[in-house]
Amino acid sequence: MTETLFNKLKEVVGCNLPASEAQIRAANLKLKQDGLPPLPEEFAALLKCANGFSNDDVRIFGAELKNSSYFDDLFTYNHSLFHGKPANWLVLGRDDYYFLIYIPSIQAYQLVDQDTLQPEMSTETLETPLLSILRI
Amino acid sequence: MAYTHDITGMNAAQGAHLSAEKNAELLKRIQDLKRQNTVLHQGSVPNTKSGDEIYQEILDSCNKFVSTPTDDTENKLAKVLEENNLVLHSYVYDKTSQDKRDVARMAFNGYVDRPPEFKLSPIMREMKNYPQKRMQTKPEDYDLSASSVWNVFKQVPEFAATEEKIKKGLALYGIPPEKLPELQCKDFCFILNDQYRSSGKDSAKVFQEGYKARFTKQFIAEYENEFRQGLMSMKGIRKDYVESLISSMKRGITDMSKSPYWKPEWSNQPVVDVHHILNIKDASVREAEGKSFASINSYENMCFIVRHPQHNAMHALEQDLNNNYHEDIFYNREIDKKYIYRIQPPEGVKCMLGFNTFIYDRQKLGIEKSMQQQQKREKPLSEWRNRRAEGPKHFRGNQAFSRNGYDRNAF
Repeated sequence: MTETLFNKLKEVVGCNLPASEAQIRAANLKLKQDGLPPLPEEFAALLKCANGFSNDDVRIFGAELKNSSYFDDLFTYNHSLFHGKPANWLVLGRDDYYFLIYIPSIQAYQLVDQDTLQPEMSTETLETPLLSILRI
Repeated sequence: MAYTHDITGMNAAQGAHLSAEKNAELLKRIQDLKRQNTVLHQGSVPNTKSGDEIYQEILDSCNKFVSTPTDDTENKLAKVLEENNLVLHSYVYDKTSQDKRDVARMAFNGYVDRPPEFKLSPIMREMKNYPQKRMQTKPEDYDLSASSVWNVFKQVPEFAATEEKIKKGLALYGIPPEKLPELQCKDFCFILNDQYRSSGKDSAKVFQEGYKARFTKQFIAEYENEFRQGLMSMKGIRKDYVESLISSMKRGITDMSKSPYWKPEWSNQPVVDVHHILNIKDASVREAEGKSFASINSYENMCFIVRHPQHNAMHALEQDLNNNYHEDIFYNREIDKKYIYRIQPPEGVKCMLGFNTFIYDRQKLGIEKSMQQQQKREKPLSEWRNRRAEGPKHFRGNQAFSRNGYDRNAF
């Protein structure tokens, strides 16, 4: 499933190198220390195909990215957004208007308006909101 | 989100907040560039701070100014910016409507996203979801001038050209013509997206190319040599990356991660972004000058800039501590005016590759295209040599050179 999605993505968007198990573990540890939810499994599996995606002004964050100007680090972004305080959702990516988020309590991926946090789309799986925010 | 700070005694005068010393330094720099006949400025004094440290210093000064707006914090911010060749500007605040912002952004990108259903107007939602309620209308039944939203769209020539397609879309959904004034910007986006999108895609390419791609092509055609030279002087830069980037820019593309030639080693190479010198959010400033809001996407109002830390620093005043974007509005009771503050590159800069590396606008400096001219010179000169080699029939001696140098019309 993840591989099919990745194959679809790699044709049209910028893909980083795959994330290692160690990078995923390190990101989860940091998220836990900040009181943030861990990476959802489906998303973590996708990062193992490519550790971050880019399509012009759209960014899907990667795990434990250092010195990358093309791909943004997920923990750094969430840490800055929540100011190091606990939260019950996680931002996985963004464009100019929307956040792609994951809410573990309802096990849902959502596209939410950045100003109002009103959801535009809510799904159990990653594919639909991911393709939508990446404009595919 | 908008934050209003009620203040008195601030420097809130409209325009650039630049000290006399800095002004003189910038003027001298321009004179030096003119003398050297180049538009590339590379600061000779090495900056002791890293780009990240400068960015953090700017961010801290912005946060201090926004949380405690006084003459002191404003002057300190202006000084930190000056030291790093950036300029603090303030404008009388006049909110740009969301419709104008959205239309300008779509024109910049060249595509129209499919809006979510909850953002459509009640009439559009009804006609979309209940085909039985649709009226039997023809495209010619619609007079778009009745819509205030269309009057915003049509200020962008490329959108104005979509008038017939929009009328066709309105007829397709059977929108009652008398309901046109009730349609919102997102309804027009929905119709445009519907008319132009290819199957299976959320975005519709309405223009051949957006203003961003157009600017990119024009910039690289004008400044290829200086851009290459400026990038190549950066620490850790890779030649293969620079050449691929320039080649992509000639096709209007700046995001190299999408390139078929993308190499993972490039992930730490500098990303260049197109930046609006006067922010899209401040298009009303243009309108106050008697121009259309759509001129925010003009060639003159755009420049290239390295994404981090320079581009992020440029937007540091619009970011709060949580990295959210917002607008800070300052109210000066003494003169009863609202102001906004923005960070901009120095006047006449077309590309900012570092806090001390710029490419200036050739036209504004009145400097000719030296490198390109040289290339042009080489061609006829070699032709002249070839002709000479061919024999006396084609040999024209020194006629090709005037007293003042090369005479392009000699051949």
